[in-house]
Amino acid sequence: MREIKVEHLARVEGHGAITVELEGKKVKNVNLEVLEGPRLFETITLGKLPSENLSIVPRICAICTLSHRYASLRGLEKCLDIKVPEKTRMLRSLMLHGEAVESHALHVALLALPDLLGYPNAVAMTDKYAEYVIRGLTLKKYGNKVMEVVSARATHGENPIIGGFGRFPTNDELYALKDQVKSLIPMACSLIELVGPMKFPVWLDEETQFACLNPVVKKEYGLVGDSILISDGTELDVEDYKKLTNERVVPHSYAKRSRYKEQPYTVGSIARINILGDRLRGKAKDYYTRYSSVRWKRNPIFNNMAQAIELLYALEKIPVLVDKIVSMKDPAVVKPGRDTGKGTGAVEAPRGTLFHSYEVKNGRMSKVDIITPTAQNLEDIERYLGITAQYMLDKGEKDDAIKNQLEIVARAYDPCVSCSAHLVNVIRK
Amino acid sequence: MGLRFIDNLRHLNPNYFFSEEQGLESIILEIIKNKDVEDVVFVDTCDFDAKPGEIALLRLDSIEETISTHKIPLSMLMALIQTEGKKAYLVGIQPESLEFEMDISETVEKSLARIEDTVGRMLQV
Repeated sequence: MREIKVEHLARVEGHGAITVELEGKKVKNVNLEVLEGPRLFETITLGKLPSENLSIVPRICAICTLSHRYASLRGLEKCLDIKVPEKTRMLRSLMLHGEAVESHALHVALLALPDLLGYPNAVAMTDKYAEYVIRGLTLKKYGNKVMEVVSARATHGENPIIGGFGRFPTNDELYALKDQVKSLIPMACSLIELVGPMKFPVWLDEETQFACLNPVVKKEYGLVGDSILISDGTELDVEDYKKLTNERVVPHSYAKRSRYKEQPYTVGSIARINILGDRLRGKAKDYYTRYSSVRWKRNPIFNNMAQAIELLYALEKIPVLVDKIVSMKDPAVVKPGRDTGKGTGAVEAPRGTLFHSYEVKNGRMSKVDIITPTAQNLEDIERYLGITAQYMLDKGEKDDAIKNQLEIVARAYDPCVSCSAHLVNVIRK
Repeated sequence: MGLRFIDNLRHLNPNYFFSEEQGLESIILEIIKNKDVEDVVFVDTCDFDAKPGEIALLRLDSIEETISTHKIPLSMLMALIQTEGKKAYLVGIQPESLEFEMDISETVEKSLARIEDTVGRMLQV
């Protein structure tokens, strides 16, 4: 038996590796190894105050920091019987959309484009496509600015607090965010128009399952919800998230794995677009109508295109949110109604559905369960890596070409490896 | 280490020095658009299989690095700068150790001081 190994998965967040075990010309096993050590966030926060939990858990990741914060807020506020007013909800939604712009711009323009254009790396791409990289940087900078205005820092902002915000942004700050969008929309469109006509390998097409949150605003595309939509037509209350995730531990990785009905599934932009795409509006809807196809339900490479469309959706949504937010008065922070309770908060992070499920007893964290989108995607990533490896072997491709293609497939998911390694249970005997 | 370099020299002319905490995208976009900027020098620890403390002036084509979504790769930033007709260099110092919770070693401190001295004198000319 021999192995093909991608020692270090490049152009993704965190440390991961791919090992393909071969017997002759047959793929026996594929492991996507998460090399980040167990980070034990779910254990660190036990016994702490909810406010401390809220500051700790966003440190799981520097890119999806506000997704973690928002999911945590939703879970904690359920535990503490806090219902926040509309302005608070809208402002939190604004920060999430800013994060989507930041994350998708980085991934599509800087990390995925070299793959899609056939370059070995991003540096080589700057020869002819420097302008797209600059647009990606500009969009990312704007996303960071939105996050900074709402949460007080571009990374790990502490302004969103239990029950509200420490300080509400001024109307001037919000209008400045709205004004900038006009010049950014053509940049987002140019990314879609670059990626849209590209052809992606048909041999990778294989049906899978998708899941995402059903947005709280009915019949609209969105990133926050209290129920889970699955591509088989099932809708679950978010408190029943374990019926979707069914987590288990695997020996080759510090990240737990999820399966729905014993099969892998995918979350993320491609899941949201496949399930909710008809709810898009504006230019994002136009591009979705023009470019989407049944192949988007079968081929993970299209996640790059889904992200590009979502980037545009988020940019178009931000002015709408700003107009609503500035028309409302700043509410006071809502105090807890109790100090004991349980609740699950969920948001759509850039990479997919993120769950933070908590129990609070007498004002202290007593149970914490965090399931990240990348952890949920790992089974499906491995499955498509197996398809890739087998196809390339059957074609007689050399190891370097196989490794390169494996990386392209893994990268299409925009995995956040650090997020996925959040806990392995430690049992003392 | 790069932050220490900036902090120690920024007083000479704040307009010449940028550190990553200011937001990398903002800095790079500003540099790219600024027609008065001709040369950009990055200072950072680099592993080039040398003795700890050794200093190298590196060009883009000698840099191999992995990419993380936590930061935009230095090589890409250098390439972008060069597409605008500017020159980009990396002054690298071989570290003693990359372990967490280790401060800058005495060996690297001495090399950093040499670079600070050279750059400081250049800026005062």
